[in-house]
Amino acid sequence: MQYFELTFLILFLPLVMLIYQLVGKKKRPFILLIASYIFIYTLSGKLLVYLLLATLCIHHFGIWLDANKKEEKEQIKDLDKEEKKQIKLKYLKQRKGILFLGILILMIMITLTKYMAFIGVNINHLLALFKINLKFKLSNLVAPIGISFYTFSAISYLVDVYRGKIKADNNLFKLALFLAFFPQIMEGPISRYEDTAENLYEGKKITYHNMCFGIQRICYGLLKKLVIADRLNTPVKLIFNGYDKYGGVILLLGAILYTIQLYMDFSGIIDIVIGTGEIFGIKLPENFRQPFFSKNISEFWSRWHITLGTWFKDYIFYPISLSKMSRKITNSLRKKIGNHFGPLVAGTIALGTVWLCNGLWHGAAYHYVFFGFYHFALILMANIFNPAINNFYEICHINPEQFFIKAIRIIKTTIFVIFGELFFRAQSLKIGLVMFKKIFTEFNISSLNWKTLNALKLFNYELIIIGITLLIVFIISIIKEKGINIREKIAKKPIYIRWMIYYALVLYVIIFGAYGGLYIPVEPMYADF
Amino acid sequence: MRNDLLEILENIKPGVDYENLNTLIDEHYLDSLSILSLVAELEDEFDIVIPTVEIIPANFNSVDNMLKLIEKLQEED
Amino acid sequence: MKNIIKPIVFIAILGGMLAFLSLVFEPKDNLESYDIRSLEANGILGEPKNTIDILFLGDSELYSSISPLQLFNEYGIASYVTSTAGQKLFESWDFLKKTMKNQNLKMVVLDCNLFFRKMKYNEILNNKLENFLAIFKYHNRWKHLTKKDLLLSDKSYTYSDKYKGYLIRNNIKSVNKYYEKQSTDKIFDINIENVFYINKIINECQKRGIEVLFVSTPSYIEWTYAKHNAIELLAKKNNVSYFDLNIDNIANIDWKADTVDAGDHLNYLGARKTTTQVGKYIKDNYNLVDHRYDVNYQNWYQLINNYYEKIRSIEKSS
Repeated sequence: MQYFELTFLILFLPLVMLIYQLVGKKKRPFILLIASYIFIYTLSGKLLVYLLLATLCIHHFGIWLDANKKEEKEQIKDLDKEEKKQIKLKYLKQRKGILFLGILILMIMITLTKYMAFIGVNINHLLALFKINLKFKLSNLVAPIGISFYTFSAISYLVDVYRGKIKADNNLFKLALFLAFFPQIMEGPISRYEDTAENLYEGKKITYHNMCFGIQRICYGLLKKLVIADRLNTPVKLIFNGYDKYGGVILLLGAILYTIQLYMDFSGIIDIVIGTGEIFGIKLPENFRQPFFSKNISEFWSRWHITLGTWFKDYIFYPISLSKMSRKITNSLRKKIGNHFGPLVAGTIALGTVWLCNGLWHGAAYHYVFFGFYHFALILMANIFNPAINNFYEICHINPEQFFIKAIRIIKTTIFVIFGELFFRAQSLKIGLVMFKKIFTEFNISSLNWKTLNALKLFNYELIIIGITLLIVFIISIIKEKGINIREKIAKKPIYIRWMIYYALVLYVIIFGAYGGLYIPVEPMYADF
Repeated sequence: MRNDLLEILENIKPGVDYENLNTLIDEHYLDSLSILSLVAELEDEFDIVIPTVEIIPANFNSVDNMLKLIEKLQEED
Repeated sequence: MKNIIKPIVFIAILGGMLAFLSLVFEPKDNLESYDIRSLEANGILGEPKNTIDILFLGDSELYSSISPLQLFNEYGIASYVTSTAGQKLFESWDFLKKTMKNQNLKMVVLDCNLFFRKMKYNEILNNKLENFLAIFKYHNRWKHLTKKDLLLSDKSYTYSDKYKGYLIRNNIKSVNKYYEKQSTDKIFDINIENVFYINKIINECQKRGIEVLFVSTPSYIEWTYAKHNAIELLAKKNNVSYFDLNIDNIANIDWKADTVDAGDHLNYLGARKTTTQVGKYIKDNYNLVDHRYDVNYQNWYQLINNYYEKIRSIEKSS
């Protein structure tokens, strides 16, 4: 079952809503939990086992961490300062061990499902390098649907308990629901315990208002996913699979179309997910904020897959860049070379780690690692050259926020992103590099004609629908970017206008969605990451 | 204390309307590198230790919130 | 209360719109220009009323094995093959229902390879919905809606396949290494959803006095003794006859020459042998009218001539 399939939309979801509404407030979270497990089971039985193990693991380790803290408090009650410090240190060390063990278990589980094949290949390369004739055959245990998402939520829970930001939860069911909530399980957003767990467990009644808003959001998501993303699937596949047959123009077109497809697919699914949450009165974190209006790459990453970005910031970037070692480096450098470049070394080490993890998080392959380092390099360059660029603006009396300059910056960022996605989508790093080179060496604009477009299944009526739909999304994005809440605005309109908008949206998706017939259903693109 | 803080901020990234903005992080006036400098400066200036848990947008989005954080950490010590 | 009425009214209006659009989008003819897929199988809709006695339901194994025109020529049997590649049982059920509207069938033959193709609940539900509201199945026709669609004209089916659903294939790819299959007592497990649909088809046929026959067409790759056992058991349970051409190689298939893809599907040579055997079995065991001298069937001879001409030209060229 997939979020954009009819069985989910008109059978599973309404049924869950109905049962949820009929039972008492206390039972509602259990309905959600059961529904979640059924949903996951339809994806994969094995996955359910992994999820249950992860749930038990963080439940146990959370309680263990808190018990350790309690014990520490008991112990240091009547001691003097020096002894206190000693005991505190001892317990801190223990807690570090517990946390490490908990994360290790989660990491082993994710490794078994996601990275085994990659590790196997690399071991074999290494052995071959030392002329050892031994071949390992390692393969991934299950298709890692959604596993990276809930594992990150699980790790954040453990670390937050360790840091004392939240208290460990005794309630196994609440934790289980937090990890398994069915709209989120495939593609996130990666939520934090403190933000969503209570909300999930509340068992709020479904209100008319929430239902309308939720369904509205789901329809908008379907529009992005079914009308645009899935329609682009075939052309993108043809271009990337037959990269050797096409010249630079078509390859560039492929990269652009893939970027559109990926955004429409991922953000569309996230709209469906958040909308589904909304129906049940659950506020899930936003994952996108008009990323293609970013003026630089680091802004892009604070608008694209936001929950992953903040996760990396909170659990990798700051812990590394503010570790004792880093602080020492920063402090000594700061005094010598000033506040801009002082933290650069520590920041860069942390940033590099983040981007290595980001690359690997998307999948165990070198083109993902390259993708990570590509963005790392772009951000690093911006960090180094920013003061110079700002000086330049000042000297030339250019206001970087002026419309025209802003547009140029936005286009520049978008171009960088598109090239990044080229490597991201390419079947391997090598192929990505070949494609990249071709764009600059074999750029022949005349190869972009109706004949090639038709061969790529981009017929004129497909292009018209893509164009119109992108325009709709673009206009809505501008309105959102301006800070106008378009949904509240619609809600205030008289009922016949409101309903006409809703009917138009629903029928538009049903008629123009690229599903059925020759369109192959496309699994959510981020589910396997 | 407020003026000290403003001076530090001006030193790290000049030309921002620190007094009136409350979206310093959300709107990217302060990037993560500025935060690293800021943390180091604050720890020096006010004799506090800022734990990683406290490094969240909410605490650094406005001067008022930063002051609150500093006061809280000073008390805890 | 108001909060319940509003959604109900909203959904009712939406349902009305979808029902109307379904009428618009439903193909008004079984032509390719109406976005009909599997044209050959859907050609059954264009057959004149009450002229087809036997409906063959199956997947690609079947349309590679049975030639209705040969059956008519040799035995006077009027039949049609509505098989599609990778057909699932719910699709077979749809074909049967559609056919019965226009044809007074005497017999339904199921190719048992159908029984082993897994169906997801998802697909079954989706299919049900698409049957209920055609807009979900035919929405892609927005690109070429015709005047007929917009005027909600009555449906009239004009296309019928020149080989009555059979697919002539002439290339040869031999089975690499042929091993005699080992007999076993094992019984292949047929999924309950599949059993459900098989029973549904049998019940419907028995209700209308239509004979049902299970056939296993020759396939070196697909067929096993375990599957045979499972089908036999199912046939006995439902009081249905089962004709397995794989046992003792009844059709005398030469796996070196009679297959297009190394033992999965038959080519025209294999199909010729298989059709003869199946026709003989039906003739011997069932009482069907021989239509060869029926004036209403004279138009079949034109197709038959065309068909044998095609076969002859293939034989000449190889």
